[in-house]
Amino acid sequence: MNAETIKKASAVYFTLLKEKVIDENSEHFQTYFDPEVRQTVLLLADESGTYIIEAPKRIHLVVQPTGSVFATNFTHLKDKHKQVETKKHFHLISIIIMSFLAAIDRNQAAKIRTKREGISYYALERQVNDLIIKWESILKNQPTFGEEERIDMKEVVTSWKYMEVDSDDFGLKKGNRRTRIGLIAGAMRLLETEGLIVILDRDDIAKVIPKNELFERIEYLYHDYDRYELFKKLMTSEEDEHAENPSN
Amino acid sequence: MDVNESWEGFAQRMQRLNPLFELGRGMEVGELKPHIQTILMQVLLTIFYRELNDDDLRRKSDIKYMVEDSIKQMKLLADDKQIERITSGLLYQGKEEYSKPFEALYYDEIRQSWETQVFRYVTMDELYTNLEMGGSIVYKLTDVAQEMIFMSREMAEEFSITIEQLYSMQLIKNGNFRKATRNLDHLISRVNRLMANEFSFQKEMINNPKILLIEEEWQRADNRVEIEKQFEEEKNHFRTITSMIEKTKRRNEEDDYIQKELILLQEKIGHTRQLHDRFAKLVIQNISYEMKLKAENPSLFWENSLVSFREHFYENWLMKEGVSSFTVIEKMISPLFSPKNEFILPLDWIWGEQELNEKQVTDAVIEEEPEESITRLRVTNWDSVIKAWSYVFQFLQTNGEFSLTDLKELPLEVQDLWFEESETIDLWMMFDKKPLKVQVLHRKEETLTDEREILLYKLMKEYPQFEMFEGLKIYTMFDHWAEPFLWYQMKITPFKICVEENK
Repeated sequence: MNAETIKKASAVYFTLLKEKVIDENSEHFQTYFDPEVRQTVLLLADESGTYIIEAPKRIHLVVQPTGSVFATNFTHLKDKHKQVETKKHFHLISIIIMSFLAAIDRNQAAKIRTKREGISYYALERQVNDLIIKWESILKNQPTFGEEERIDMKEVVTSWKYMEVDSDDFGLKKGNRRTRIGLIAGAMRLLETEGLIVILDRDDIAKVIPKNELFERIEYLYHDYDRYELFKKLMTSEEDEHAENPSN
Repeated sequence: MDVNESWEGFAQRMQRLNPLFELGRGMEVGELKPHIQTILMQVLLTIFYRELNDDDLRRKSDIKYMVEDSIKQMKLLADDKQIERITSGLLYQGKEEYSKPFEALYYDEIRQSWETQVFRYVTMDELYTNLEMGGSIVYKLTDVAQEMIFMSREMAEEFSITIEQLYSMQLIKNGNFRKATRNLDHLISRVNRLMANEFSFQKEMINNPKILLIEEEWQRADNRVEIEKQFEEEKNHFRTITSMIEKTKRRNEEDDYIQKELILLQEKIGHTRQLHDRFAKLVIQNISYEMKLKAENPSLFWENSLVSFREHFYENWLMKEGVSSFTVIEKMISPLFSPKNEFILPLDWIWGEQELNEKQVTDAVIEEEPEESITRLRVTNWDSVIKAWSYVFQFLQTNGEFSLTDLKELPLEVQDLWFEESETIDLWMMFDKKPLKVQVLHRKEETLTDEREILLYKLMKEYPQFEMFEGLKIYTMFDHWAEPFLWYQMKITPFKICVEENK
């Protein structure tokens, strides 16, 4: 590894860090695909707990599921919701994002349709609600789980259920995280800041239009079998860990 | 004659008619109900012509105007609620919030079952909707709505010869002949449909080459068979029909009327032929596109994922099993996000702006009344400061946090308070230093050195309800999404003051 390579590689890496995504029109796009440079960039990425997505026309830099030396908008949001009361809101925001991903993760034909028509906040609210209802029945049918274990889930289910869908007061509608739609708006704003979605008709019935960048991230992060195995391992080990360390 | 003839292509006919039947159905618009379809048709036409004229005034608010306008033009009356309802009724079925497409049932004669047809009248016009900037959706007509428009006039005009033709054929009283011409009509409409399919396929293929592989692939294969059949039929029909025409011509040489009809018929055949030629060209063009795309993007072939987020993560795991710890969900979602590069320390930024603002503010004051401003700067009128800040602490008490941006939302007379004393605003910057543990209640005022402590001490003396802050930690948080905002000539970076309960 010579100095020139390192120089080129760090130029690519730091550009990625600044811009999140570089596309084929960037000078760095070509540089990246020089085998030596690519190796070095991947090394830099790995050492800093980040991961590089190589889509046909774009390269993305994202953090690894196990954490990174960098913060993200998502971790910032989490920090913001450290208090018990608002922590539930943060959990709900995470769930909304999951539901949203599930809603748009479909076959190609449906994907094109979603891209054209978008998903309204209210449609997403229904989708999240379906999940919460499912969870509620899980909690009801498994009394053996007791008070301690599924406490997070229970809290989330209860706070969602007692939350208004939307506030009648039009003036307060903006950013009111005490309503379901308000929370959804918050979650979507997060993805918007990340450059993954476009929000249209914001002043009316807001609709979310997923961008290609988001489809690429879904495809490379969750459609890969090896990564699926990795996530599965994370899920199971996390649940074991949880038993020993409830403060987590 | 075969009775089943009436069933031929029934499902397709119904799918074509359903959008007409459904237009404006089920809307609660009171006395406007009998007029609703006429109004909506006029709106569809307006959208259609705006589309033709490259006019992008086709947002929801524009459609609302179209509705209003049509109603006015038709000398009807409507209130805002009715207009709103009619507008959303053209965009979606049922409650607007869910933005659902329209659904209608039709009977499929081949499968012998009832099927659901899903359609919309308008859809997003990607050419005009600004996806980069957000904003509002610009709508255009869907194929379904376009067809309705053509059906209502253009098609009838186009086919007027055909309908007359069919009647005259009855006059000619040649059963076989009639059947042949009817088949010719079928041929025309089918070739038109196939051509439309081929066009949209071409467009989608260019936009998204992946459709060559997924799902559409078999539909495409289906289409291929149909295309070949079409060309085969064309050949047969043309042969029989031309020979038939020749025969009839010879047989009825003295009848002028029939001769005229036959000439028209021949012209129609010429037209059908041209259509077929155009269609053939399109098909060949598409095939060459397809080859090119496949040659240039071989990766299209092997990119076929085994795992899906929806099925594996969401439905099979999250939905079925639930979660016991949310850190798992966090780990799942976090790789969606890019690392954040913090290039400026928020504190430096704030101080930088503060220096700039002070300059602006004092400049203005000095010009107007220099003497007064000097004396005012020396003696702090704490009463005013406390009054201004009491609003902030009221918010903190109820919400646990207060953002600087909220200053703009305060009543104007309160906002004025903030400018009475420069100290009032300077205190903001003090709060951004380091978290403050409030311990002032039982101390003497003289022993307090921190400006914030003085403020809190005075606040508690003035408003006893604020004594609850004693022992709590007050800290600030920087909102990374927020943009600096302008408040009376001051550019301020918004941050939040928060209260943390003591653990």
